[in-house]
Amino acid sequence: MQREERTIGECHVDIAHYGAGSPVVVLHGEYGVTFAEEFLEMLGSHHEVVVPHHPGWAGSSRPTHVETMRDVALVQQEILEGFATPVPVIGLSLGGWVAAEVAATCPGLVASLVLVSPIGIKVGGREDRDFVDIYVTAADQRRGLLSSTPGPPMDAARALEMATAEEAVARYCWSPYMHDPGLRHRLRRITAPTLVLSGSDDRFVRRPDYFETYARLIGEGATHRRIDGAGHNVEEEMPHDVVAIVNEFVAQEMPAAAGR
Amino acid sequence: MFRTYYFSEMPYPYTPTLEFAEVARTTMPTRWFDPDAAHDVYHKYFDLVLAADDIGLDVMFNEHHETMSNMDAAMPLSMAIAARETRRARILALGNPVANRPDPVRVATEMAMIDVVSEGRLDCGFVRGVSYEMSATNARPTDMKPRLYEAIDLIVKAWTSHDGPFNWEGEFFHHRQVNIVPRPFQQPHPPIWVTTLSPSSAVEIAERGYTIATIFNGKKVCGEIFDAYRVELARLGRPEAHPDKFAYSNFVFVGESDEEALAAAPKLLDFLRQSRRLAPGQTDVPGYIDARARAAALAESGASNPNRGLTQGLGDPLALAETGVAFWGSPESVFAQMRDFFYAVGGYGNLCGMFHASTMSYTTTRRSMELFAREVLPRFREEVYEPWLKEHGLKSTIGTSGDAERSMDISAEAGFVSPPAGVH
Repeated sequence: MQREERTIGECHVDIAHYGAGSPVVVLHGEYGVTFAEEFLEMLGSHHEVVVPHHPGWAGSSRPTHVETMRDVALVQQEILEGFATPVPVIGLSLGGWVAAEVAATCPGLVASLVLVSPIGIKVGGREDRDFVDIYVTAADQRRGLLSSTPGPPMDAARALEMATAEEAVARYCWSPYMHDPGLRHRLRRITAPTLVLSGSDDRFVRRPDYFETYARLIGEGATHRRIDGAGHNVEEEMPHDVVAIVNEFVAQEMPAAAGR
Repeated sequence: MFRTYYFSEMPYPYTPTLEFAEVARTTMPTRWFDPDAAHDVYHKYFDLVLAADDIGLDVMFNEHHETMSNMDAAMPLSMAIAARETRRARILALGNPVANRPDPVRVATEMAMIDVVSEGRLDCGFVRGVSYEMSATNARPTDMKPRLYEAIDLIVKAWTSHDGPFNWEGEFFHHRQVNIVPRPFQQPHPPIWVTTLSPSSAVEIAERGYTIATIFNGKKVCGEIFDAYRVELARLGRPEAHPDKFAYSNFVFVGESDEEALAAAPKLLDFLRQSRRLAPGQTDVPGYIDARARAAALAESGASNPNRGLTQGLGDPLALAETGVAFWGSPESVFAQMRDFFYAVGGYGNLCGMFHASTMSYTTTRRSMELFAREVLPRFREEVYEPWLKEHGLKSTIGTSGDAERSMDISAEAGFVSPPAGVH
């Protein structure tokens, strides 16, 4: 794994590169890359996996004006603008929210889009919670809502990464909780062929129709696929399956993407 | 003059005990709350506020939300009752949770009304609010310190601008045409207090010249916090702070004898017991607690358990008196505890005493307050406080409690510039 630092405006972005091959960009989820390394390494044997850390996550700075997920998406948009041609993008949970925002704002930057358990829209009514409220969940049970994989052993560095990540999530996702009310109206702008991937045993997203709604709001170019037995962080729990699905999807969409 | 502010958390004390419900704060369903019973206890608490006024003490209010441990969920309302019904006591808010409340101009207005109705008896405290009450206003837990201080700046400007509307477009608050009526009674504005539990936060409070208040942390930690304030003043080249810039809160109970007083200890300590019955996830709030501090806890235990130690002893009452978490005993004992604490922390001028908690009766509480006001406070002022002021070359302020004079004296000492009296 190699590290690169790039300056986007006032933001110093820490970019991790895994493997080699045609590039794909992975926009990470709530806990950064801490628990996704296995998936990223595996994907790296087929592609060069580019993982720019969102402002506020360990490695990347957060200029004080970056206060919302749309601000985060603008930084990632500029990263994508650095590629010569449209690039496949994979978004993981909160990273799926960022990916959807970028794809909706600048459709031409994204060759194909895989959204793994994307959050960021609200489907339910005003008294419903689409997501479990992690802020009334005991700290030692929060991770378990997302994934059943234990991840690497806890040490001081791991703990600081997690605490930093949790603060970033609190900043961007407190209220409106884990969504932007406007995003569902922008999803129709996505032109990239899109695959929404979710798990049948998601303990964080409470609505059974959440992900199919997400795909439906994007439109005809989007499909939804549910993986049996997987929780929210499908890429952590079933990295092999997700890598295979991503490779297949990216390969099948590349010829079409090249023609755009 | 050394002041003692009476307070109670104003609990609804009839909740199910630990055996039936582990969580008592924030998420306990209100089907356990009987408004009829609450009616009686609210009036008991306001009767005790009047008693304090009568006896020669001052009064303090604090605010908590969504919890039966404190029914004063909208503190300005209690303060308004006190403003109208008390005659001489100073009325302390400790405090307005302005890092949470979305509308500082409204807070400025509420406090100004209380100051005018009470004829200038308001002491206005501001607090960050506890981590487990973010849901009270759903404020974001990140950047709370800068948000607290921007709110205070906007409030002070609202209190002190008298030339027509001003504009405010800050980092956290936007407000056009601010022009509050009424303007506060005290000039240039009521004294400001800010609470803290850490020495690092004392630095900003000292720089701003506010009164610093801390709670329940005993001689050693309270001393460290007060010292951090003093060190900052020295660093800024400012004169030594008057002790009335320092405030400490703890349990206070005075009995005819030590034994009688210590018999009241369990009910007072019940406040701490109830306070710890917290819902999961609500103390360990990312952003509220600095990432490095949370990381240290995460690395160590992998979890935060707010109810850890719930069933452990809260400490021997005598030990709590020794450390200063409580002042309780006979008048002689309480005097000695207060004296020792005073010297240990380098002097202070305001005691906020939790004289009441749990199901303590009006009678029991009032008797303790009377013994304190008659047998402890005058002696403490005469034998400890005033001599200390003289020794430090500070202005002696002997007078009756609640003199409106005090704010003018203290304002001058604090360096506030008092404009000429009268309408500008």
